[in-house]
Amino acid sequence: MKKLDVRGLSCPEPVLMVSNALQDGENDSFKVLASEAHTVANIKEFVEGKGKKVSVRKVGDDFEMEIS
Amino acid sequence: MNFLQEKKGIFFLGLLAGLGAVILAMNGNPKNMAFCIACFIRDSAGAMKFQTTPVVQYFRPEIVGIVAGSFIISLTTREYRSMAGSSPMIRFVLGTLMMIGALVFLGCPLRMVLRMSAGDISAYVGLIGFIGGVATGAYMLKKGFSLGRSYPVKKENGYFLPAVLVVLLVLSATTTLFAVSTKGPGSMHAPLLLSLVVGIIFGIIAQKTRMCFAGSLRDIILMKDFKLFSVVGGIFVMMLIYNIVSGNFKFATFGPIAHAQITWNILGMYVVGFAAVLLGGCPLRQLVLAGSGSSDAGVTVVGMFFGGALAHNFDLASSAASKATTEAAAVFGGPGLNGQIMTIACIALLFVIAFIGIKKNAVNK
Repeated sequence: MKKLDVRGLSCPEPVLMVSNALQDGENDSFKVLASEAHTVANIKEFVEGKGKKVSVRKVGDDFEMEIS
Repeated sequence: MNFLQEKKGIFFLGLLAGLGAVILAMNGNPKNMAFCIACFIRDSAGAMKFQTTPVVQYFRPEIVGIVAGSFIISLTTREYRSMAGSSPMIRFVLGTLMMIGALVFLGCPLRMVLRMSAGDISAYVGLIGFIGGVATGAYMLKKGFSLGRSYPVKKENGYFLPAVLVVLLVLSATTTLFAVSTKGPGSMHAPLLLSLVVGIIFGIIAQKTRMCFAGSLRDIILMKDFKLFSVVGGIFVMMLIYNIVSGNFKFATFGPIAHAQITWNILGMYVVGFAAVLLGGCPLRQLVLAGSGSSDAGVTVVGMFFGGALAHNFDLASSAASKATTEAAAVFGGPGLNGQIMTIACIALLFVIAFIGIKKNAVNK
């Protein structure tokens, strides 16, 4: 499974990266590693708007999102 | 809480934030300047004598409130995280440039929206420049611009800015260390506690909604996403209603504490929009991020403070225009030669920073 690391990047880079990943592999599921809550919220909204499912779990202080 | 995450809920929170601005306007903050991050940081720099323009010196509790509000809510909701290390020196410079641009226009994007809601045409002119600046920044992002990653650091890093601001506010309220304007915009302010409380609530709302004036336009340009825009819409609508009801609304070439020089309104706001997108957020957003643990945003805030002092010590800031009266001739307002040269220099420097930041093999192309 593809893994995207957006930890510590400023707005809107994480969402842009996820957006590109969605365009590259339309139907693949992939994981995103993020470090801040507002980044998680931004990504979650963006991909849900695209009709994708998202699950978020805490890994240490970071967040791992699975997008399918 | 889900309601608050949706567009309608965000619009509602925008209305609430707008109400905060209305309350401050009704209780003594300057007309059409109920809330302005740039002006208020500049006033605070003046209060601490980092600049000595007599009419713009007052330690604004709203700034303390926004940072404190963001700090409190992010700790409460466990969203606080101390991060640092994403090009701090470049961010400091960008903060300085953003501030100078804002003071050439006479307001941050938040104040631009407040001025627009009062019918100030010069603010609509500024909006043209702001959109241009945001679009330029968005183009650089598409090209792969990044200031790099920030990394987790000791959590206490993020405690300092809120703590220092609170200490300074206590000092400003209890001692005569700080300068306070006796006339001009700096002398107009709501009672301290009210300013602080509204600031805190504003900070909480801004943290929850991720309110950002540059981001709202950037998301529309890059992703056709109007969500962040709805919170800005909420503030605008609330202030518009207040201005109409209170008789403050009138279409005029310039309103209070503003000037009508088209070129410099556009270019000043162009600098703000461009710098804000490169930074990842407008002046308000920088305060909020600094409150929720970002040392990088904290450094940006210090850069803005520095920019505020610079703008007045070297005559870069614009003067406000005024109509002719029986005692005085009309004042044209706008930036002097220094401000005009600096605005052009800011734009040149922003392009330099943007090109420096474009990565080869960009991840976000």
